[in-house]
Amino acid sequence: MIATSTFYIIRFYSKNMACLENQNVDAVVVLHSVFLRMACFDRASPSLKKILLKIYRAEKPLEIDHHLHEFGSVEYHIQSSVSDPRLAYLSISMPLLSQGDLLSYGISRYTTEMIKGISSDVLEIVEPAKAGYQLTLRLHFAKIPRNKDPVKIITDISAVQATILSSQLKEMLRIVNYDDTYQGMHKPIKLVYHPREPFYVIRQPQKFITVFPMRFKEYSDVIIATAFFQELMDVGISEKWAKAPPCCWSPIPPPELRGESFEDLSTNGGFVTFDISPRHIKGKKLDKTVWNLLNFYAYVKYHVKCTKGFIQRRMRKRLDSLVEVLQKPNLEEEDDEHTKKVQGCRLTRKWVKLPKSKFLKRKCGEFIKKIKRIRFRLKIHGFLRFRQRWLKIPKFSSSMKYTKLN
Amino acid sequence: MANTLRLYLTCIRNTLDAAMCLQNFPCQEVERHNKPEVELKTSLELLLNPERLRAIFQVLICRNEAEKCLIEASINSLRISLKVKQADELENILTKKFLRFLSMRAEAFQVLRRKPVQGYDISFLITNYHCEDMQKHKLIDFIVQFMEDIDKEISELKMSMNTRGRLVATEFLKQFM
Amino acid sequence: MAAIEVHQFAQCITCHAWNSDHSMVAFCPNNNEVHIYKLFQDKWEKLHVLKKHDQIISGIDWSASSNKIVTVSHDRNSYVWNQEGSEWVPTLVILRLNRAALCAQWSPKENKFAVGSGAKTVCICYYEQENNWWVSKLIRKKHDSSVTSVAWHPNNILLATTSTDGKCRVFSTFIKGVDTRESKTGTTSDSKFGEQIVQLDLSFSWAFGVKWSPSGNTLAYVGHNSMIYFVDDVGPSPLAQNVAFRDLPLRDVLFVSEKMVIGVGFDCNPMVFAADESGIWRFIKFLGERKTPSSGSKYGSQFSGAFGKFYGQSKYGVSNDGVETSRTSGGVHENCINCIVPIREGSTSRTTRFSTSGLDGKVVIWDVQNQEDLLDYL
Repeated sequence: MIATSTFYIIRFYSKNMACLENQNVDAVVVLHSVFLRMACFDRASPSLKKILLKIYRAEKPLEIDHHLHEFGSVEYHIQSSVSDPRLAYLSISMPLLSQGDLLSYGISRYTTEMIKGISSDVLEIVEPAKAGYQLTLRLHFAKIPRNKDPVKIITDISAVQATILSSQLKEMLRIVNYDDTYQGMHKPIKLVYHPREPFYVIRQPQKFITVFPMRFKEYSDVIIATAFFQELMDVGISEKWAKAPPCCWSPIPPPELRGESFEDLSTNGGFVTFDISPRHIKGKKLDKTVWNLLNFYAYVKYHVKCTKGFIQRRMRKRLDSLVEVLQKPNLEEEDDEHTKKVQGCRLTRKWVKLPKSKFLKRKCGEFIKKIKRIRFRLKIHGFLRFRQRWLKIPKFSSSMKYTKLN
Repeated sequence: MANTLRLYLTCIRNTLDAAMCLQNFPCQEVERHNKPEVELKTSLELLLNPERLRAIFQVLICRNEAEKCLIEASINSLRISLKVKQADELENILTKKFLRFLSMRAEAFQVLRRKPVQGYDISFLITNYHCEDMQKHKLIDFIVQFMEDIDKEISELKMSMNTRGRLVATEFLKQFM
Repeated sequence: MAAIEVHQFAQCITCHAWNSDHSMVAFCPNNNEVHIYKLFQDKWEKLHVLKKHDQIISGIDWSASSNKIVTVSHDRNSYVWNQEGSEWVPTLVILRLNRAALCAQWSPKENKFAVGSGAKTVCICYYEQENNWWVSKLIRKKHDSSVTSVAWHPNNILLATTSTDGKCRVFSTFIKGVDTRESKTGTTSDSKFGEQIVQLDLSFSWAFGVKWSPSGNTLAYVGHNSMIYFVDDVGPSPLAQNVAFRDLPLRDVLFVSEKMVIGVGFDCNPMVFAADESGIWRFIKFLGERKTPSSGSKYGSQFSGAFGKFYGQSKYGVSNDGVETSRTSGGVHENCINCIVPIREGSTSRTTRFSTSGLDGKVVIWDVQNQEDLLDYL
C-alpha cells in the first residue's frame, strides 16, 4: 500500500521537480519533505480505492471478481455480482504483525472493533472469512449515510489493511501501557510487517523500545541512510524536539536484542532505536506514533530514493556545464576561421614592437642568465657515465673556449 | 588550504603545458596503425622519460595522500589520471557516482577515458588529434577547471544532501508531536 | 615585423614546400592529399590536388631545378610527381618499407632523395635511367627507433638523421654510378654506402629536426628535452655544444646563415639562435612578439625548459599565485609549428626569408633582413 502510493507521489513529485530545477535547493528540499509527509500519511490503497469507487459509481450493476496483490504479501479479493448489485465483498489476506504468542489468534477483538469503527453502516464482517483470507467484509454502498462524503468512506475502507496493521501494534502498546507495574526485562517481540523488514518492540519499565535493523541492497543506499540517521539524531537532540521520542543509531545491535537469531542481527545499515514513553501513546498521539513507527522503513527508503534522484538530476545539470568548457574552444575557433576567411587569404599584419634597444636588453638580459651553455668533448663510448656525472653538478663554470679531443 | 589547492593546480597546469607536446606518430610495431603510445606501451623509447637513465615515464603530483594526479606522456598521447579527495564515505560514494556518471558519457568530453587507470578515480586520454582540433591552452584549462569543479561539486552535493537529510528528519520528528 | 605574410590555407598543415621561384606552394592539409596553390596577382588559388596516397602525408619536398615533387606518407609509399603539361603525374617509388614513411628530402644535386621511416630505416632513392624507375637502397639496423628527420650535407654524400632513440647519426650515401669520387671531401672519402660516420648521443629524449649549415661545417638538431645541439667538425672527433632553453621543445630547425639558426616548435613562435665571434651558440630572441614576456623564477640548472616545469617551476611571472587561465599565444602561429622551409633567392648561400607551417593551418613567411639586431649574424 505504501509502496504503491509512494509510487504515485513520486511521479507527481518528479513532474513538479522539473519546474523547480532552476530554483534554489532549499525550495526543492522543502517540497520534497512535504511530499514525503503526504506519502506516509496516505493510508488508503489507491488501486483498491479505484475499484471500490468504480463499483460505487457504476450506473449498471458490474460483474467484478478481482485479485489485487500489494506490497509483496498483501492480497485483496473484490467481488461484486450482477445478481446482487447491492453488495460487494472485500476479502483480505496479510501476514500477521507478530508471530509471537501475543497475537497468535489472528484478527483480535480490538482489531474487529477498529474495523467496524470505519463505518458500521456500510461494512459488515462476514464470519467465517473466505477460505484463504483472514477477513471478509460485506459492503453495502447503498447504506452510506446521506450526510457523509461517500468518497471519504470508501477511502477509509480502502485503508483497511493499514487499520488492521496499526490496530495490532496499538493493541500491543496498550498492553504495555496498562502493564507498567510489571518489573524487569521482556523478551523482544519481533514484528514482521514486511517479510524483509522486521522490527522489534521491547517492553521495559516506564517505556518501550522499538529497534529497526536497517538493511539496504546497495552500498550507496547505506551511506545515504547513515547520513540521514546522523541528522535524525542531531535534530532529535535539540531542545525543540525534546518531546519527540529520543532516537539513536548504532552500527551494532543494542543490548536489548541479545539472544535474537544471528540472521536478524546482521545488517549493513546498523540499528535505529526509538524510545517510546507512555506520553507518546496517550490518546490521539497513539495513532500517529504507531503509524510513524510502521512507516519508518518506507520513510527512510523513500528518502534514499529521492536523494539518489536528486544527485542524478544535479549531475546531469553539471555535465552540461562541464561539457560547455570543452566545446567553447571549438566554437571560438570556428568564429576565428570565419573572420579569417572573410578577410581573405593574403593577410599582412603589423606587429607591435618595442623600441629595439629596450627589447634586446630585456630579452638578452634574461636569457643570458638563463641559458647555460655546456661544452664538452664528445665521446660516444662511456658517454652515459659522463652524463651521469654532469647531471649531478647543478652549476657550470663555463669558459668561453672548448678544446678538441685528441 | 585554498592556497595549497592553487599550488597543486598550478603545478598540474605547468606539467601539462610541458607534457602536452604531442605529434602525429605512426605505430612502430604494427603496420599502418596509429595508436596512442601511452596506452600501447610497446615502444618504451616513445614514452616520455624525463631522465632516460631511470625508466620512469610518469609524473605524480600529490596534494596530499588522498589527492593526486598522475601524468603519463608519450610521443603522441598523454594520459592524466586523477584521484579526488574523499574525506568520508559520503564523499566517497558521491565521487564514485559522479565520476562514473561522467565516464558513461565520455563521448561528450572527447578526452575522457571510459575506464580510469587502476588506482585512480578518473582518467583523461589526450592524443595529438585533440591538439590539432583544439587549442592546447583550452585543453589544459578544461582539465584544471574540471578538477576544480569536481571538488566544488562534491562538497556542494554533500552539503545539500545533509540539508535535505536534516529537513526530512525534522519532518519525521514533527509527526510525533 | 619579421612575419611578412600570413596565409591561412587549411585547418591544419603537416608539411609544405615551395617551387623554385616561390610562386607555388604544396602542402598537406593533415590528410592524404597534397594541395598546390599558385599566386595569381596577389591572390593564392588552389591549382592542383594530388591524390594518390591513402594515409596522412608526412613529408613533401619540391626540387628546385628538376621541378619534381616527392611525397611520402604513413601508408609506407612514396611518389615522385612530375609536371607534364598542366598535370602532375605520379611515379610510385617502391620504398621497400613495412612501416610509415616520416620525412623526405631531395639531395642538393637532386639526383637522390632520402626518406626516414617508422621501420627504423632510411631509404636512399635514386633514378635508374635504364629501367626507368626509382630504386630504393636501405640503411638498415642502424637506428633503434623511428627516423624523424633527414638532412643532406651540401656534398650530396653525407646524410644526417635524427631518431626517437635520441641520437643523431651521419651516414655516407655514396652510390656507385650516381655519385662520383671527386665530389667527396676529407675524411669521408673512403666510406661505402650506409657506413655510419658518427653517432651523436647528446639528447635525453627524442631528437627531431636536423639541418646542416650552408657550408656543411655545422650540424644542428633538437631534442624533446628543450635543447638544441650544435655539432662542429663532424667526423671522428666532433665538437658539440648543447643549448638549453626555458621554453617548450622545438620540432625543426633551419640555418639562415653559418652563424644563425631558427628553431620552431611547440612554443608556436620561431626562436633565433646565433653564434658569437668565439663560436658559442646562444638563444637570442623570439622572432614573433610575445604577449607575456618570460620572467619570474630562476631555474638555474641545465635541467631547464620542459622538465623544469615538471618540478612545479612556474614560467610566467604571475602564475605562482593563481589558477589563472593558460596564456594565449600572442604570436602569429596559434598552434605547434612543425615545418620550416627556406626561401632561397638565386644561388646565394644566405637565406633571409623562410616559411613556417603548423597545426593551426597557417603558412607564414618571415624575413630576418629587417631585424637590425640580427644583421650581424647574417
